[in-house]
Amino acid sequence: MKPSSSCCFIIPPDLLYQIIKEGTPEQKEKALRTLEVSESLRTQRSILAGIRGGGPLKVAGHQQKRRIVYDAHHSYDIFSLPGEPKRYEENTQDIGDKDLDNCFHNTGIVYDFYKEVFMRNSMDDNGMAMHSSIHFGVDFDNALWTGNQMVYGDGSDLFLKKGLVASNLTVTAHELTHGVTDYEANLVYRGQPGALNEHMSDVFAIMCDQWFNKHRVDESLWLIGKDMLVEGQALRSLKEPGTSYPSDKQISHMQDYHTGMRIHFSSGIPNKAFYVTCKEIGNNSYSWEKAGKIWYVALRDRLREYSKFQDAADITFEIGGLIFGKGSKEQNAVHKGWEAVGIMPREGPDITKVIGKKRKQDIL
Amino acid sequence: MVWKIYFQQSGGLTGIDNNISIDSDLLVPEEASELQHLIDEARFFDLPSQPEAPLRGADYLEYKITIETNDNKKYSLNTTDLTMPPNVGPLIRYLRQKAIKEGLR
Repeated sequence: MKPSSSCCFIIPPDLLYQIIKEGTPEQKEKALRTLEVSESLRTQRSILAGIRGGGPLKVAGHQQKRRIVYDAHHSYDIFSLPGEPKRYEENTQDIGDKDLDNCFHNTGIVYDFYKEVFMRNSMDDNGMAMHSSIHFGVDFDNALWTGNQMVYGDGSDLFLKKGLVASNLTVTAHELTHGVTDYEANLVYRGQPGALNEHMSDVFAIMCDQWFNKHRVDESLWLIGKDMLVEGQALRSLKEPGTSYPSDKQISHMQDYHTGMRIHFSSGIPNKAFYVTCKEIGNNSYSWEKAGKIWYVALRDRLREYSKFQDAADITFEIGGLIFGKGSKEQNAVHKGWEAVGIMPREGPDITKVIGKKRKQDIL
Repeated sequence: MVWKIYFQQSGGLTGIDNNISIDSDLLVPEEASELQHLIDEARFFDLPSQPEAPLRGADYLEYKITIETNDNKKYSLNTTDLTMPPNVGPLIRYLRQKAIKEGLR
């Protein structure tokens, strides 16, 4: 079944997908570009409808995952991205570029994780295509989210090992979750809101990894980017922030926090709170089943651009009570999680009305 | 022309900082020549400084490069992966790798 689109274009979407599947490389690229334009316009219409105060415009989205991986051919030009399209959803066979094929598969795993666990349809929850460019720059030691797509370097073998950046599931899940956050809480990328933005990417990345590997709380190593560093075991540890590599500066308690701290370092505080919450719920439990649901509702419905750690503590505590009952083991676990990092969750108003507006039945 | 270069990198997926200062007088001639070539290719002294942070995106690296010339002039560039002029890429790669190697010593 082909995805449908509500946009009106001269060439019907079904025909464009047929061209992508069977056309020459040039025809495929032109068809892809046309689809990109249609998607961009659909998104703009939706945003404009919201800004104009007319309520959300019901726009038909795609119901299937749509992955496109591009080769940046080692260009440093971010403005030339996404690059040459190499693999589409319709390509069932690996094309032989290990990084590219791994990136494609991992992007699919992240999509499936969000879809099966949280009933979320891609980053915008409306079937948005997931664009990834690999081989960006030369020996580029990074992966990032541009606001529109994922970008991966190759690594240099000096800092990040070559060939692992685009192939690591937790990295892809981390970057893709930045897209989810953009469409939901839209946490600003500085200060405590920025640290919460990073925290959400780490939390959903580790849950995706645990879900894919069917790891219970005590079976997971709780590491982001395991074995990617030339020196060190991983990029970050949610279990023991600050212990992943020799100069790891991540902190895990408010007593070590100061204003102006780098967001990748202070995100260790909420990361640790999530880990302790999961432990308190149970070593034999699955993180995504209870703690994950609480955090997802918080990200989707309650956290906003300037939310801080205390807000996150209050909100997750309240949501824990709403979903699992006041005084439940799960709500108490959330309290213990935040308490462990020096933040005491406060009782707030009943939030039933707030989250009830937005697909409460989907997640509860 | 170039006398001293200061390079600072922060942010990115890892959040790890990398810094280095290079005195071109202390480089072997081949390396000094390579560095001068990268600066020329970047058209560094014609670049506007870009202090604005990107409005969107996450995990981008942030760079600050300051070059002091032997006539006591100072030029600075603040940029990121999302705002970097592409011709600066090779210079940043050189400085980043130099900083990492220095940190490993």
